[in-house]
Amino acid sequence: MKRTTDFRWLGLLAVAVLLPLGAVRAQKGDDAAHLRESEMDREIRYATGLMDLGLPDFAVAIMGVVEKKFPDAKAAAARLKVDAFASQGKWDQAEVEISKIQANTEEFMSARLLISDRYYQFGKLPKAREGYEAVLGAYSKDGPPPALRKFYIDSAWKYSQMLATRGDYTGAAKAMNYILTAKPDEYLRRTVMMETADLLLKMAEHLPSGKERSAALANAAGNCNTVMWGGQDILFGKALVLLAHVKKLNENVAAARKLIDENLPKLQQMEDAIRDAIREGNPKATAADLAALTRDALRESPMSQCKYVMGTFDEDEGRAALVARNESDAKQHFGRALGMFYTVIRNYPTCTWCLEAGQHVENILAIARECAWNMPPVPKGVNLAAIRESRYSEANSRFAEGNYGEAARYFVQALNMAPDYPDAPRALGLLAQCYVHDNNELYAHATINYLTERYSRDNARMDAAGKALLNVAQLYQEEGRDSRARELCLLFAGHFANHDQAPAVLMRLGDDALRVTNYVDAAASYQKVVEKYNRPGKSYNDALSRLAVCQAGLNDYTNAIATLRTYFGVLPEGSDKIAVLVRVAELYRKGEDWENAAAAYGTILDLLNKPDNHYSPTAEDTTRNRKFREAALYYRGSCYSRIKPAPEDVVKFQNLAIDSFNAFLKENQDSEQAPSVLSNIGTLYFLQNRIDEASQIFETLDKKYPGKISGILFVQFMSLMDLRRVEKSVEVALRIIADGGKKYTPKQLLTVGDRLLRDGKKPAIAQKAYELARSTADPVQDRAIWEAATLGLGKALVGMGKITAVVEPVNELLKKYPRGPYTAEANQMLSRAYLAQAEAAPSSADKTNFCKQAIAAQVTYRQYLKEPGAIAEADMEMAKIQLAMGENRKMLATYQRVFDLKPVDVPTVACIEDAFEKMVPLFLENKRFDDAIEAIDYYLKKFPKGGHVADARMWRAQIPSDVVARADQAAAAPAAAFAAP
Amino acid sequence: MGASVDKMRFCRAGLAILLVLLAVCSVQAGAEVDGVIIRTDDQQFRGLMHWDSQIKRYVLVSKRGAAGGVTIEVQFSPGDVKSLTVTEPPGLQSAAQLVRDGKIQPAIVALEKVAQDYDMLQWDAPAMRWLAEAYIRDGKPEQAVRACERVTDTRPDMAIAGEMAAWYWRALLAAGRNNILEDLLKKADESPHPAAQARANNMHGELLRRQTRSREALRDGYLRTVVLFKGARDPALRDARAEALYKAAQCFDDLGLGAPAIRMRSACIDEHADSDWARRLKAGEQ
Repeated sequence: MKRTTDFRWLGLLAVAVLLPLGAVRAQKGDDAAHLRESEMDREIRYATGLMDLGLPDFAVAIMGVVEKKFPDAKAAAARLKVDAFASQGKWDQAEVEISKIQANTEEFMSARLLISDRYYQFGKLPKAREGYEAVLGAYSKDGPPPALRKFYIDSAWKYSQMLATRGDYTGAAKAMNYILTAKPDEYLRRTVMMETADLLLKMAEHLPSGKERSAALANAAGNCNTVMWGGQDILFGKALVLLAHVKKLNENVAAARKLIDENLPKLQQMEDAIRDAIREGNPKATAADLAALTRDALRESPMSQCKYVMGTFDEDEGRAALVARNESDAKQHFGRALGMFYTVIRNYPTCTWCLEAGQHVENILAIARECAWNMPPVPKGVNLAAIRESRYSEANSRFAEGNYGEAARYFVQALNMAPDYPDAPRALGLLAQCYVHDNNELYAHATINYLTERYSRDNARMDAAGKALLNVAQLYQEEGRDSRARELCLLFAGHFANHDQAPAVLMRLGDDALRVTNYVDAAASYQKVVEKYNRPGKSYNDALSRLAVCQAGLNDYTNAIATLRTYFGVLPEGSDKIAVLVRVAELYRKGEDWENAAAAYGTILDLLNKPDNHYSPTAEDTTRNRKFREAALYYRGSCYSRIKPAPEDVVKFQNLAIDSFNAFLKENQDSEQAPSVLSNIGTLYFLQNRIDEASQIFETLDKKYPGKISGILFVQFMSLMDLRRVEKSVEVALRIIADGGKKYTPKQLLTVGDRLLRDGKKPAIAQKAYELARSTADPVQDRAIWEAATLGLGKALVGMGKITAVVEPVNELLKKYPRGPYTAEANQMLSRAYLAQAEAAPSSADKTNFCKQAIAAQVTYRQYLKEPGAIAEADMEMAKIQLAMGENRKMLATYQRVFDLKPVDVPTVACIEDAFEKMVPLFLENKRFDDAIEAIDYYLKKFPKGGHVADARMWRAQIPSDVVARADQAAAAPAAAFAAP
Repeated sequence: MGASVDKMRFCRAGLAILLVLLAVCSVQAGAEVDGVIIRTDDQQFRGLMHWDSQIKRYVLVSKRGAAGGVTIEVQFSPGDVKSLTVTEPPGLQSAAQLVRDGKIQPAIVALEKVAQDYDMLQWDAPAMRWLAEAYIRDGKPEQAVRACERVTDTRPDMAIAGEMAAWYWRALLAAGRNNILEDLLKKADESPHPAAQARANNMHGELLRRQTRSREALRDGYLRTVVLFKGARDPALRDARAEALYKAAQCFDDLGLGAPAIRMRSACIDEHADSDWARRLKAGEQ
């Protein structure tokens, strides 16, 4: 080396080159590293990882255990809890956790910084600012303690960036200065000074001439000079260029030019030194590798910024000449500027100024096109496409860092610069995500619509655009905004029908709806898959299967059976096919089409009876088919026995049933169903007046299955119920009850009551059975039976319309067993009974008294509820009680609360509809028109196919026109604000 | 082994090696197979070998002499064997294919034979692993457990780590022998094998999910693998993580938590694109 420059930056360069190697080695050692860590460290790593996955609940649970087991983990646990709550936006809980940490300790301060980071992330800038200022300011004199130093520096940097992004350069410069209090190493100190100088410069650019501007520029210049005194390294070069910029802003372009011209050789020397160092450090590298290494190293060369600034000098002069109508001069200056910018792009493609230079080139070329100048072609080696790519990649990297505000700015620039760039659809999707993150719903909406409209019919880019749209939908879902995610999925399904993911999205929509038993929407999605993507494959097959589930759920058995038959056709040979036929037969059964059901079971048996059939290719299939065969034999008999044929055919079908049951018994003697099948045969004999054979069967039953069946009348009763001979079974039940509980156990009496109530719809006789069961069961030893019989008695009384009579037995149950399996149901019943008593009470005092008791029972009932639908139903019942008490305002508030619920499942939706129907007339009655119109418009938007759409429109028409006009105007305002001029 | 071979015995201090020239037909559990035994002192021995289950030693027979007329028999206690290399049994792959094709009965016959012929000779463990799968597919988990225990009784490490362990655990799970399974999973978690730890986490998740405890299945099972082995490069660990992501998504579905379920599935597809689990997701399976 002949030159006498300071090569300290080469050390940094070497570090930069070595860092990736180190990182690679660290990664290689990762698997093994897992072995060496202690259990505490591993668990903390696990909890932190759970946080990163967005699962704070899990993380907190883990840290709770760790904290108990390892007292040393207390501080880490406290911080993690703060972060866990803050990451979910649970600020109050996070602040409570912070308050538990001893104030002004390192843990406290680091937790404050953490929560400030989260506030920033959630866009709560004042809170973020408050937190950062509190902690950063606390150490502004003596600097942070060593344990907090790195975190402090990182946070100060982040805070500065936050303020700079929002244009608060003064605050950003101040935040940057906090880093200096942490006594950073020399290089970081000079870097911070340079960053501060840059911020001061930006601040001055926006200030009018005056003291403040001069002071900012003077400070910036001061920082540059300090940095330059630190040595002639990369920062020296940067400071030099920045100083030139300061001079330019001080209206001293000549001095700026002079400064650069004088120092150009020095900057060139630095650059040459970098090139030499790379060459000497890599003697065996190929020419291509060497070029790549040099390109990377020159990223930080001050020469790039220098050329860039010189380019801006000429560009500014060119613009001035153009304004002065001196076209020749303008052309000359622009030509020189282009030369400088081209140099930056060609020689420093990875430097930060390259993108800016590209933007300037685009601007100058646009002017040239406008003025119809013949500019020389873009030189070889100047890759504008790469610049565009870089612009997109810069935006992507900001997005990946979670800096959504800045990422959005970069995406917009990139899309404006190159709207037809191949990555544009994806960029639009990411731009929409940025807006979603920043709660800018209006812009997100517009971007999503543009993405859909622009690319859904563009075959070449439809795939990428569809994926981008789905990613936005996923983000909404991750943020818990399921309805918006669903809207986007529907948008996708509507516009991207030819997209590879379309069937999967439709399936997902269907599955989501099916999960909440919304059969209508689910069926619509599955139907689309079946119709549009009619090609054998998993999606198509699953869609058929689930469509049949929905149709069955909607009691559309005919279509469900037709769908299942199509499904049967597409399935490969195996037990799955038989399973489909079982479903077909079950649907016939559900529809009480016993004849076709019996035939369907017969088909199953025929198929499985065939020798060498193809339905059992594997052992697993054989096992499944064995079970299907058992079920088919049983249900075929059961179906035959339930057919109600012409009187002359009754015996024929009963005999078919007996044959089928006998076939079942022959093959499945040890089946759990065997006793019940045998009793069915006995009952069929009994119905045919073949008393001897029936008696023989019942005796066999007693002998063969001792203990399982006792009491012939009970067996007969059960069989008759199974065969749906309700009237006959009632006769037998009355004989059982007449016995007074001597031959029959309390459990059998309870079963008689249950079946009479549930299957026979005979509450009056069921009541007798329950009363007998209660009186014969010991409330302590037979607690379960006694409790169930008491509740059953309550239900029977409700079924008989004697709701007020429920109070006595149910109260007895709750008094004896305040907490048991029936507590919730009993309280619900009691609440309704008291309400009925209140409604019938003659005096207002009695009414109030009963209502209070109804509320008390209702409150207890609610404690046991977890499902949103059940809670909504309880709210509606509470509203009824409030109505009975005459508390109309409270009742209205209850309806409003229900109406505001998320429509997460079918019962909740039903309650919302109900609440709407009751609430709006009350609003109208009380002349609360604004509330009424708000509720109506919300309902029409959310439930366009709801049950009260016609009512809603009718109610809207009853509202005074000025109120309607005002509401319409308010609704249109945001759209108008966003409309293109 | 000829009947007229002279008997000779050499003892070597410190090593329980018995070198015998003999003409005794010893009791043999399996067939003799060609292979190499490397002793703990790195000395290699090639010949026909078998495992004598009565004396619990490897017996290796080698022909020596100009015309190979002298038969030398060497016995090795398992503790003196550093490694053992035996050519793969010809019937093993075809038997495995039979299992894959669902032809269980012929597969079981073939695998039982391999397991017997290669008792303690390297290939009994893979044979037992396939045998376990065959029995599980045939709905006979108890027999699958017994098959695995024929290996793990003599080599307990195989109940904790490796392919065999995974199938042993599945068999125990299917047979409802949860206590033994939980003990093994604990040992695997404490073992120094990351792949065993990851698989144990997944199996723990499966065990809990079967008990309809999806939340615990996530916390104490799948999510541990997902988080603790993120970025691992070992193929076995990567496969375990892909499985964990796939099944964690199912658990989140159980809990009605759609968003994390989607995240898990996306991570499975993005980070383990070449895994079977990702392929299943791409094919529309959930």
